[in-house]
Parts: sequence; structure tokens; C-alpha cells
Amino acid sequence: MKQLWSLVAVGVIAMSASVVAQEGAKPAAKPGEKQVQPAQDGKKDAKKDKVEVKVGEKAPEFSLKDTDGKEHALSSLSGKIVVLEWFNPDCPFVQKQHEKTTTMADLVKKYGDKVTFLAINSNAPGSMGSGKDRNAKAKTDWKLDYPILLDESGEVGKAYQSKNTPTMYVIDAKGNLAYWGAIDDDSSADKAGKTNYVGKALDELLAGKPVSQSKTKPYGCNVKYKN
Amino acid sequence: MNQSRRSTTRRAERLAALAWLAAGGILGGCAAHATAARAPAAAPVSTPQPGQTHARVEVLLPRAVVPGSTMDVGVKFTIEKDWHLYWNGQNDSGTPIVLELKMPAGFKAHDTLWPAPERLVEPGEILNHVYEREVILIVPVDVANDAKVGTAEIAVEARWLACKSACVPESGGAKASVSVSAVPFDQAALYVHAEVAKARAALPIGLAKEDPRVKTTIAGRQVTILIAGARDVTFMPGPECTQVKNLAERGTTQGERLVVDLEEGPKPIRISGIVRVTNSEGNRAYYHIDTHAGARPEGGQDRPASGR
Repeated sequence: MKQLWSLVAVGVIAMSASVVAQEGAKPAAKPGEKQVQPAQDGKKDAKKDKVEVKVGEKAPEFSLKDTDGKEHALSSLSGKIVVLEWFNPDCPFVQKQHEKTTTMADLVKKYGDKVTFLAINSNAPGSMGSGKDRNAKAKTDWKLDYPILLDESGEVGKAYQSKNTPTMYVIDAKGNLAYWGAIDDDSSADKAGKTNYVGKALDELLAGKPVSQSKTKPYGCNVKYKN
Repeated sequence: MNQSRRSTTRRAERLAALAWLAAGGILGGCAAHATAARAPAAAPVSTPQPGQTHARVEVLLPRAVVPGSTMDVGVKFTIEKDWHLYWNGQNDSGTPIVLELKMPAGFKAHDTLWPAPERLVEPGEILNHVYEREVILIVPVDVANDAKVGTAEIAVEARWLACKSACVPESGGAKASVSVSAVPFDQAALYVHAEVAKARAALPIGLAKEDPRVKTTIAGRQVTILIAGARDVTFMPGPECTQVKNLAERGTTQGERLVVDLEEGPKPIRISGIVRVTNSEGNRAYYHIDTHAGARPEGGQDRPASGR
């Protein structure tokens, strides 16, 4: 079993090698710590190739299938502004944007004709809010008119260093990351914020201005990665 | 709402109910003991929770207070097995516990004192500082100088996010009473709640300036925390601390020296939070650090936090 884990770990490291920034040596052991993930001993060797995702730089490429099986590649959307919403239909902080408030619906209504919206679910199979059926149901229940892409390996989520649902990313028409962070400034699970950071970033981008607040701290559930 | 969530919740509710039955037995014992003691204040009472929650709140008060004194209000959370609530420092996800106190006029609450949390790293290098099983948050409260002699009631409304594999925003309330007596009793034990006193004694130690036990130095955007002879060092950045980079991987180390990098951002830099240490004898200790750089001279100063 142990061997299997390290194989899986090495595989994941190889996959995510190009995306996650690592600096310095990893301590041999973490004292007194609850470590849910298996040990990743191979990590040290892979770290040289890792790239940190940064606002102002190229957004990581991806190609994922949605709940209808249709493939969506970021490269095919070049020339368009893209909004990514890290998604989990069973996370109360995602439910807030779709059920308790009209935050997401308002954004889509206001910007939907000029901006492409994509939800991405990186939760591992079997974890909370994962799977095609559950997400297809959320799409229907919440009347989403944008696709929910399934990233069950977590590769794309890790490439974007997305740790929360929701985490929001705005990618400009040139394919560069223009905003990374929270949807708004209220981290509760039931109230919409006063400032919607995504709306603000889109207003500025559409007006040809630089995004004034390009990084905020996301809030929500953690993404339920496989390992 | 969806099926899978419902069934998970239902299973969790059954577990919670069992846990509460067990906890109730212990509490019952405590209450009986309290009644046998002399002073008149009532045992803490939990108000019914809306539905079933994964944590239960109690208010723990001393049995008596004197007008013009300061008492510790203990807010105890009993957390269902495998679930956790969140500390108020830097976390990758979740939201910290929020407390609201309702007290008689003239009573004044100070900042909440948060016990040292546990470090929880989950897949995807997601780091959170959390409480499991049980935690007592302490709110020091100034009793009004003109507090009416008799009984004072302190009510607490709390909100928290409970997480396991799922996360559930929850809330609950509890209240308790304390005797206000102008004539001091001669038993010191009446003025503290034993469990709260124990929790206070376990709070991270506030350090005086230039304390030799923990040496924090800031050079550019790199911070070194040195505890001579320590077996391991862990840094848990508090809510005011400048954002630390890659904390899941770099926030803890073997040996006496921990080096962490800070996220790019404006000065001044503030390094505040809890340092957890295992000393050479294998014992754990927790210290509060608070050091500035940028606006203040390099190296800044440590100030005592949360000590009385």
C-alpha cells in the first residue's frame, strides 16, 4: 500500500511539476502535524521545473470536459475575456453565490455577452460535490447557462493553485491572468459583499484599464484534491 | 438540495446525537458537583441549537465576581469527532469562529484569547489551523464598577464553520450566570472557573521585548525564527501577520531554526502569531511573537500578548 502511494505521489508530482512553485528544501518530517496527504519524497527532484502562477502572466492552459462531455480548451477562447469559478455544488460558500444570493447570476447577466464564464470542479471522485451527475444537477437547479468542467485529477486546480471554492480567476483577452481571488468582500456563507471584485475587474478590463485590485484572499471550502 | 449531501448530513447527525448523549453524562456530573458547592450561581445552560450541529457551545463562568474586577468568560466548544473549527489566524480555507456576547450594561469585553490550534495539511498543500474535539476561547470581561449586586447573566451567540470532508456553517448560543457580590468571598476558587483557568494557563506565552527564548529576525522579506536547542519549530501566523508564502510546506521544520518567506506586498512588515516549539526534553511550548520591520527599526520588538 505504501509503495502504491508513493507511485501515485510521484505520478502527481510529475503532472504538477510544471506548475507549482517550490523553493528551498522540504523538511524531512513535519513534527506534530496531521498530514492527510501521503509522503511526497520525490518532490525535491521535480521542483526545479515548477512555475508559479502569477497575476499579469500567462494563465495555465487547460482542456477539460464539461458535464455533457463537451471539451473546453482555454486556447480556443483566445481573444476573449474568461472568468473561471472554482466550483463545488455542496460547498456552502458556492451555494451562497448561486442560491442564497444572486451574485453569480448577476455577473453572468451583466457581462455574459462579452465574457466567457466557466466553472471548474477539481474535487476528487467520491468527495463532496464531485461527479458528473451531481454537477449536472447543480447546473439545472441553479439554471447555470455556462458549463461546469470536471477536473477530477485536480491537475488544473493545482496548476492554478486554487485552494478554495469558490476561487475566481479573470483572464484577459491576451490570455494573461488579470484577477485572482475572492468573488467579493464578504466571507460569510450567507451574505453578498459590498464590493464584487470580479465585477470590478471586468469593468476595468472592458474599459481598457488595468485591474486595480488584482489579487485578494479567496474564502470558502477547501478544494477536495485527490492527493 | 441534493441527495448525497442529505444522507451525509443525516449520518453525521446520528453521530452527533450519540456524542451529545455521552457528553451529557459528563456534564450532568459536573452540574451535580457544582450544586454541592456553596456559592449561588447557576450551572451553565445551553440553549437549544437550531437543528443538529457538529459543535456545541457552553459558557463557563466563575461562580462569583466583584464589581470593578475582570473575569474570564470561557466559551467552550465541544466538537464532534473528526470535525474541526477554525482558528482566527492565517488559513487557506474556512472561516474563524465568531463570538457575540450579551452582558449587563457597563460590562466590557476585551479581545478574545485564542488557544494554540493544530496544523492541518490537506491534499493540494492546503493548510489550516484548526481546533478538534474541544476548545475554550477566553473573553476577559470587565465587570461594571456599579454592577448590580445579585446575578448577572452572560449570553454568547457563536457562529462557526464546521468541516470534515464537508463544510457546514453553523451557529449556536449558550448562557450562564454569575453572582455579583460587593463583599469579596475569601475563597479564590469562586472567582475562577477551573476549566477556564486551565485553558488560560495553556495559552501561548507572551514574550517580553528581547526575550531570549524566541529570536525573530526579519531580513528583506525573509523571516528567521530561532529557538536555541529546539527539536522542532512551527510558525502559525496570526490574523495581523504579513502573508507568509507557501506555509503548508515551509511553516514547520526540524531543528531550532525556521526560515519562512513573505509574500510580496507593502511595508511595514509585521510578524505576529504563535510559535510552537518542541524543546530538547520533548515538551511542547507555545509563544506569542509580534515583531515589526519597515516602519519601525529593523528587528522591531516583541511585545507581550494575551498575558494578564
